[in-house]
Amino acid sequence: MRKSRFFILPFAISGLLFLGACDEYVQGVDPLINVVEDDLLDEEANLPFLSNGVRVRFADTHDFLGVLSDGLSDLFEFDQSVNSATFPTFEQLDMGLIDLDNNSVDGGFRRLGELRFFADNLVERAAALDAGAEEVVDALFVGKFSGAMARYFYAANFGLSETVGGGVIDGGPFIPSADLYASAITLWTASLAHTTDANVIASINSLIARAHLFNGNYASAATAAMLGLSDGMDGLESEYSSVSTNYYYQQAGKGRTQFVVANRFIDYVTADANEASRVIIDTLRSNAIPDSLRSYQVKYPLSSTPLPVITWQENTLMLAELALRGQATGTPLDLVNDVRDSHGIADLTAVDLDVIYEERDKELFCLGLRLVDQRRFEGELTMTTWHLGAGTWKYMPIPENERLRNDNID
Amino acid sequence: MRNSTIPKLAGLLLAFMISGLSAQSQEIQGQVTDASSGQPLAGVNVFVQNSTVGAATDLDGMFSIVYVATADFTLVINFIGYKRQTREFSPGDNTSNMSIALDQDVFQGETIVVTGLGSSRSKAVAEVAVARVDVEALTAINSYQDFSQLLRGKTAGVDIKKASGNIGGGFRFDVRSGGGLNGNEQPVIYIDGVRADHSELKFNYVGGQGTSTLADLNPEDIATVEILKGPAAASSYGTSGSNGVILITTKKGKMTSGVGKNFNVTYKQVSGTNKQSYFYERKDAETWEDVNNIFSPDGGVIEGRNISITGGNAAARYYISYDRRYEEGILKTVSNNYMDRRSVRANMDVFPSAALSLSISTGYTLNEITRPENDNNTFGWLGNTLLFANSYVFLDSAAIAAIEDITVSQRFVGSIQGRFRPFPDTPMLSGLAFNATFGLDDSNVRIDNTKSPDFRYGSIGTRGRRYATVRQVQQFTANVGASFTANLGGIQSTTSITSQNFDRRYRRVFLSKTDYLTSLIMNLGAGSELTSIDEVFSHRRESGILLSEEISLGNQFFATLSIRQDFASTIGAEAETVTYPAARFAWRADQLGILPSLFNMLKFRFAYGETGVLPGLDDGIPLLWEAEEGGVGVGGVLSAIGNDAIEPERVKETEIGIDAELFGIISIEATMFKVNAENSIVGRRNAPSTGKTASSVPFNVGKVEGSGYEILVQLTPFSSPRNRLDITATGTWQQNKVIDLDGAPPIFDGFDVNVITEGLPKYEFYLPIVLGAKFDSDGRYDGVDIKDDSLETSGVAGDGRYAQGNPLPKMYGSLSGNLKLFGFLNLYALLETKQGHVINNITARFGARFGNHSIRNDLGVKLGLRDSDPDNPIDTLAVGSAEYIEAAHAYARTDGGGASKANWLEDASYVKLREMSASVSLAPFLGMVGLQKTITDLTVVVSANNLMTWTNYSGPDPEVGWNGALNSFRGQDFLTLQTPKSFTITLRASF
Repeated sequence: MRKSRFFILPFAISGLLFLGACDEYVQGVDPLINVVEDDLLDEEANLPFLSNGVRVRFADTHDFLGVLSDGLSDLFEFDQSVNSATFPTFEQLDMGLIDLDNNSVDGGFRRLGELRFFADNLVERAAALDAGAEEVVDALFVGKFSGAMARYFYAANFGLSETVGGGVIDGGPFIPSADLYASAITLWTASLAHTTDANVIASINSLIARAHLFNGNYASAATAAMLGLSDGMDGLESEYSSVSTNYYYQQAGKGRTQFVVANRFIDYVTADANEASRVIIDTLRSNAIPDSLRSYQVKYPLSSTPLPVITWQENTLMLAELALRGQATGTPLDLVNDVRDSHGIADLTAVDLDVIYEERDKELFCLGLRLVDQRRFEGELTMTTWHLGAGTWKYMPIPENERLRNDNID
Repeated sequence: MRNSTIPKLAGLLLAFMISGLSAQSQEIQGQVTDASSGQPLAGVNVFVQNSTVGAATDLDGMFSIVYVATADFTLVINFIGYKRQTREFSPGDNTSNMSIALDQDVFQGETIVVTGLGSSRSKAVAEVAVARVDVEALTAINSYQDFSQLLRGKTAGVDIKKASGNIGGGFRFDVRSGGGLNGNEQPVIYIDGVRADHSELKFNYVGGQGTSTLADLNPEDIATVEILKGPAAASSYGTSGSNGVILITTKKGKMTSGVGKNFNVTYKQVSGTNKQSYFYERKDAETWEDVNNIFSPDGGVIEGRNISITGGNAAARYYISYDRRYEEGILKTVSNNYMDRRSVRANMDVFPSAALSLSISTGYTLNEITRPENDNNTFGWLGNTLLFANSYVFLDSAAIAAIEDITVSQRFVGSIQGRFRPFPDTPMLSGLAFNATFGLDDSNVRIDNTKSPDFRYGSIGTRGRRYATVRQVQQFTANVGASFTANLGGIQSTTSITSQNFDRRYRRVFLSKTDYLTSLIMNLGAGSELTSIDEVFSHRRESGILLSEEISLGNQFFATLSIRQDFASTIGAEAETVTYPAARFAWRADQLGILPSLFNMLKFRFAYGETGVLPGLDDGIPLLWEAEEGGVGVGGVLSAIGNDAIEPERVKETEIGIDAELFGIISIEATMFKVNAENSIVGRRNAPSTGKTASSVPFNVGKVEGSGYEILVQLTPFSSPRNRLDITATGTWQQNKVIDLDGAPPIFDGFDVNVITEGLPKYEFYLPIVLGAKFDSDGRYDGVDIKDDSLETSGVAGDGRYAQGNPLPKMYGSLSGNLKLFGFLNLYALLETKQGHVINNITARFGARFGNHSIRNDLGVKLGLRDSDPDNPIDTLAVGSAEYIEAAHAYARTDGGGASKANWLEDASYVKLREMSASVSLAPFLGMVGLQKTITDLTVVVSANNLMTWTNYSGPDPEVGWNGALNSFRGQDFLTLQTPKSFTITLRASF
């Protein structure tokens, strides 16, 4: 044992020498190539990278929420007799019986949370830099515009309960839709200071008009819509590619047809073939009855087909509706027919809110807007606008993942 | 073959090595026999201790070696299954005509097992439970596709589960109670001292299945597998050893049997078939005939050829082999359902002097595996035949058959291990030794997935698509150590220090293109639209210093104390180093001499050790951004949210065991273990409204406890060189529980079924309870009655979910028997069982959702909810009748809705006749034709794997999982391919 003890000492000394070498050894690794630490991005030169990230997440959120929203509305139907319709989460949406842990809704809410954070984070970074720099101006515009869109998406699509709309910002308390629309309008208005593009300015005014309209502020909506897109102006679009595909194409179209469109869209086209220029659908086989057919949207025929954010036609229909409500100037029938003319569809001879509702149904086909229309026209028309039974969700629920992790939400 | 170049070179090398020896020599010659029967033993190693001189006995048990004795020397006689003997001689002693009788060793206490990094002890004195699998013996009596097949049912405390019946498919080890919360719960695997890449390749979604990187390992090349089953034993291997260490030793060169023989050549030819093991019936699906039609009625071909050459003597030995294994799966379409593995191995052990030994191990594998698309996949065979009442609704069968998915793996694993004793003859310093291991696991994998434009594939349409990825992994292992062994009286002390270093570089590039105009040219350049492209790189290092002290007090008391200091690139800034202590003790009570004679051996052991699991590579960085491509180009999005205070999870294990050999025919190894994991890294998801949801945020807040028992019993009722019966039974009982997540919400798998939550075992099925049917006021079926947890006053309830079973078996074990008769006939069988676990039959659930569940369909007719099939008329039951109510409850229990997921949890307990073989050695008869000197072994083996299954599980296979082997989806069968049964006939000849 004495010999052994004798040797423990040099062994221990050797160990201590090795320790230093170990430390150096493990530090000497090559860096990761596909990620960058947050604080390294606090430079003007890096703002375009972040601005584009916001644009990417905006497009990614827009189409995803659009499909889910149209799935909950009476626009899309989940028909298991159609090949490829397998997602139980989509079935829940179609039925308006949505579990709080519905993965699809959770995915949409998560994307939206990222969009809001990326946008606000971009504004915060840009505001700390030279205000005159081109990159900063663009970042401030993208951040404020997208932050507004995020708040609008919360207000229009999500709810705390079946009939109470609203969202949550950064783990805070529940914010009712009205307040979120107001926040969105404030940010859109602020974004106007960072752009001189006439089409963009008009588009933002149209979006402000939409938010006021959805919030029931018809006078303000009319004011904004008057500054909005007019006949022939280009609106805004979310852009996609073969790498980042349009979700309408991917899950409710040619890519995979989880959702088909309601049969009334077939009726629209059957009644007037020219409607096919805006109600763009195709047929596919249903297994319910041998050789029966259903229809699905082909408005987005390619995975890269852009998704309109706002169009002059929508602005014109808003003006028509607001005129009918006595808030805007202009002749509602002329305005509606302007829109129909743009698609080569024959003029109508009369217009009322029922007609506006149907024209919006056709014109705003697959834009994620139908759900809001079903809610806001409820009780105003000769028809019943909500297609599902009592107790069904009229918003997508703020998901369980938020409720579990946000102490401010009951 | 005797004139081949390699043996000549080996001989020259040997001659060179021993050229320094020149003195008077003496012959050591004799016969070795079995003590109980007196029959000769062939293949016994006889060598002079601390020398390069030795030989193996021939078929008659004879040996003859020449030794130049300059001092007293010790002759060692060693043979697996028998107790080692030594004999002391002085120069000039008579060493001719020796008769040596060996006693059998049921406990195999003489076997040297690895007990830690740089340490080994004979099993008789080891302080920890080390599972040792004699693979060489197994491959002699069976034919195995891969490493997982080889180990199933062979050890206590280690469960092996394959993800599917895909050839080359992924598999996982579940060691004891599963360690802590972190990592993928897999043991670290070493091949001849080189840390091996144990991963599952799951790129390009084909339904969830992956191929295992260990499918590259040729079972025919493996000699032994030793498993250190937890921190108590594996602490010396440091961080990442919390789920144990698997040490694979490939075959080494052997001294050839018989006098004057230089080498042995062994040729092995395997032919066989993989067969469908489960045949679908109407109870499984309305489309059951279509499902059975996807399988080949003739089965898939199995072909194997292996040639190996081994030879050498006490100074140098070599093992060289070439192996080709071609194996088809059970699907009709062979083109996406086969493995073609070719491997070459060259190992060499060199003993230039008593002071120096070198082991060189090199293995290269070229492996081609094709995967069918299955599991959660609309392009798969099962997805197109089991979901809907009409088959092939997603894809035409020709389109499925045309999918090509090929994984080509090239892998080199090589190492050099050396041991140097600089002063072997200097009394004071003879115990000083240096050892080193340097090795490389270098793999290069290419995966191609091609969908032809000749067919329509979902979102791809008829545009065709090709996906390609290249994955490169280089893992370097370098261990350097020194030890000193001293003896003083009856006390032996070994002090050692070892530095262990590991370096892993990972690179992957992938891209996919679509828009192919013709299927005739499908290279990446022929597609006009890029659909994905990216690359990934990571580099990490681990390093550790181990200081250990091994003490032996006489033949009775044994202890090892060690401490390891670990460093790793992945450890956060505030945890640059981690210290892992270990202590273990063994007491050979039988050495007291007071125990009854029935105890041939009785050993008590205790061990305690700590290890851990590293955080993820970027877990310590608060916020990381990455590039994401969208329609407007590339932009920055969040990639991960980390925690700069993160530390490794720490896992502590205590192990108490008893080893005994009774009556000379029974051995028992029993172990109780208890595992405590703390500082477990729990990923807390931020609220989605924060926007910081790219990843969960790691915190060291988790605690997990596990415990269990394992037992190994071996019985050899009779034994002689010609007749022998060995019966082996293993059993493992395990449990675990998540103690603390610091109040974090339950963490679910992607299907919200398996949960990690406080108070429940890991991966527990945690779902609402289905009570049965609800009825309206008229007594008609009115949907599913789900238990209302608001009525609960106790338990975890509150979220409407309840614990409903676990995918991990509470108990698993095996029973095997090996009967050798008349010296030439060998019969072997292995039964394996797993009990007390649950599987989620998602396949049946979705069949029910989509109208393909015949039982539910019939119930629907009885309840008047569905029209009767004219070909199979069923009467509607009277509302309110007892039959109606019973049918309604049954209907509710086949509901496939989201709230009714618990309907599809089933008991997955099973017993399998896992292996069976009969082998006949013709060697004893070769003498009749005068070939016994030329052909030393000629054996025919008929074997079967996965032959029979007894289970209550209604699906095809109770042990599969749809999303591969190494993730949080556990025990979920979703259109997963069944494990085939296989039959092989093997011819083995040695020359």
